[in-house]
Parts: sequence; structure tokens; C-alpha cells
Amino acid sequence: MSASTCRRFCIAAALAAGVAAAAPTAAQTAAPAGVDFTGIWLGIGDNPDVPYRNSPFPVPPPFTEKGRELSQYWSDPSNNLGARCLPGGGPAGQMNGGTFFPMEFIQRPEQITILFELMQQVRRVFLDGRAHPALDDLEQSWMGHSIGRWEGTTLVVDTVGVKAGSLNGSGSSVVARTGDRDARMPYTETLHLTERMRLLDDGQILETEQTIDDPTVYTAPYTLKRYFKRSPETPIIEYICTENIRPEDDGSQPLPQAKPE
Amino acid sequence: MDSATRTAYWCFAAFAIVALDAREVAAHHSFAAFDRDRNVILTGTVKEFQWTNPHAWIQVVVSDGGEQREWSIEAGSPNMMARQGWKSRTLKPGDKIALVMHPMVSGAPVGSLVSATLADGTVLGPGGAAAPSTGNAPPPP
Repeated sequence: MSASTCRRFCIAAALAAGVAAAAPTAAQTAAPAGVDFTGIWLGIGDNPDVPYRNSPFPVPPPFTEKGRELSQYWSDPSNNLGARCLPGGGPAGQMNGGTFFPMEFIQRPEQITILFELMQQVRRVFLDGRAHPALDDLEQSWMGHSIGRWEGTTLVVDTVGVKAGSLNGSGSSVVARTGDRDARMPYTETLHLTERMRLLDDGQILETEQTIDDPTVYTAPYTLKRYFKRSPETPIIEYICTENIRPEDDGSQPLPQAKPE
Repeated sequence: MDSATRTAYWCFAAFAIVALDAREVAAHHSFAAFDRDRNVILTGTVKEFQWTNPHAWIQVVVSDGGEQREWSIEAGSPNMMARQGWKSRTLKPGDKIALVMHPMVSGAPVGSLVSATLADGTVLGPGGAAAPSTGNAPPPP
């Protein structure tokens, strides 16, 4: 081995040793013993028996000019994604703490799969250590690309690549909590969603803290807390949204005519 | 907070809860096409019960001054309705029904269900998250 080869080898060995030494503080890959999100969860809504409350959206919303424009856009019923059976709301909008539709978590060491009753959407959170695709390779999707890691008993989920929509009111059941007339909270392809999920009350409550960071539409990130109650008594029911889209539902279609007087 | 203010506060809070409850019908799309400040009672005969997503619909024929008029009444998702006691078999053609609905702003014979009273007196909500609003339910048809 020449001196230079040795030097390279030694540097590589030192780097490897450094990585190994750093490993205990790097991403924790396994869920802590006894932490299992598997099961059916229903948002708490305004359930008086639960000592937690979902956060309201910030008032006034910290909109950029584009944010104000898109908020208007999504408040127009003819742009409503849900009315066309498209899953507006994205991952944060679906996990809104509302009581309409339950969701089911299936936890495996390498992946958490979330099955939403509403529109039978599926969300996959990869826990196998993969990174997000490079920007050039990232394709936008309704649920985005989610990777997670454990920090103690908290699952931290990082999501990018979500197709634009509105956190409330457009195919998201948040409409019920915010009212049709409240400002729509848009997000765009530049959304970076961070969620911190943990179990409370002996595993009976799931808390998720969503940080919405989208500089296209908001001047600053904001954080919302959402709560779910373990609800094994609420089985997931099939939901095929396109079974019966009627003109009265779809803002892009002409409505039935009034009776001529 | 003095007593009068407190009373006003609680009245407002109670109103806000009721208003929220009314909105709990909507999940899938905007209900802006309906006049949610108006509650109209319809009594008639079920022509068809569409137990479908994204919303269930009750087609009901109502006598309107001697003329038969068909109304389309939109309820919630069958998923939500099932959790409030509805089944696909709850209504069948020919059943009598009395219901409260918010009529469409346009005047079209379309309404958004508030509550339904079946022939046996059972009162069912529209399929929202909250308990059915039975306070203003009409008597059985």
C-alpha cells in the first residue's frame, strides 16, 4: 500500500468510524416498543368528552398576494375539487380532525399506510430511510411524497410534491369546521408539510401537529394541532365518489331550472 | 365579565354551536346553492331513494295545489348516514315521508335535508357528524 493509498484508506476509515459513532444520534428507524398507531381513528370535532381541541386556522391568514388570489379561487364553487370527486385538501386537509370520515393506520416498521374512508384515498409514509426524490424527479400527486422518522415516541413526517388545493372546503371535510364563508386556505406545489404525530392518553388519542410552510401563498409557516380518537367501533365503509355525481353537486354543471311562474 | 355579558356570551356560544351543527351536513362540496336560513317542511311520497356517494338523494313527490311536483332532496354521504341509523332500506318507493330542508336559492325543486320523519315517527338527521337535529322535526306523515 503506497503512502497516498494509505492516506485515502485512513480518511475513508475515519469517515466510516465517524458515521458509525454518529449513528446513535442519527435518524431512529424503529418505532419505540409499545408505540403502535395501527387502528381506526376518527377526528374529535367538538366532542365534549375529549379534553383536546383542533386548532382554528390563523385569523387573519398570513397570505401573500398570490395566497389571497388562490383563496378566492378555491372559494368559487365551480372550482371545487370535491364536487368533481377529486381529493382536495391533500394529506393535511384529510387529516383535519373532523368527525365525518374515519381513517385507518396500518403500521409496519418500514411503512405506515393510512387508508382514508373519504374517497378511499391512500397515503404511504415511508420509514425505510429513503429520501424524497430529487426535485427534477419529483412528480406531484394528491397525497404527495411522505417520509418519516421516529424521534422518541413522536413520528415526524415530511411531505413534499403535493398537487395544489385548499386545506378546507374543496373536497376536504374541513369545510364543516370552518364554514363555507370562511377564507379558503390554499397550498401549492411549493408546500412543505411537517407533521409530528404522537399518541396520548394510553394510546387512545392521536395528536398530529401540522406545520404548513408554503412561501408561495403564506408569508410565514403556521402550525395546526389535530386530534383523533381511537374508534374501533367505526368501521371503514366503502366510498366510491363517482357513483352518483348529480348536476346539483357539481359547480361546473348547469343547475336544474326553477319552476316557471 | 358581568352577568348580562356572560348571558350574552353563552347565547352567542349556543347559537354558534347550532350554526356549526347546521353546517355539519356539508362535507363533500360547497352548499352555497342552498338557502340555509330557510327551513321548509315537505310532506310527500318517496319515489326513489338513491343510497349513493358522494351523497344520498331522496326523490319525493309532493302535492302542490293539486299538482304533483317532484323534489330532489340531498342528504349526506351514506357512510355518515349509516352512522346515524340510516340504511339503504330505510326508504322505499311509496313510503310516506315528512322532511325539513333548506331549499335551493335558485327556486329549483331541490333541497338540502335537515331532518326526515318516517311514517313510524322515527326522526333521522341528514348524515352529518353531529346528532340529528330533531328539535324542529315535523310530525310523522
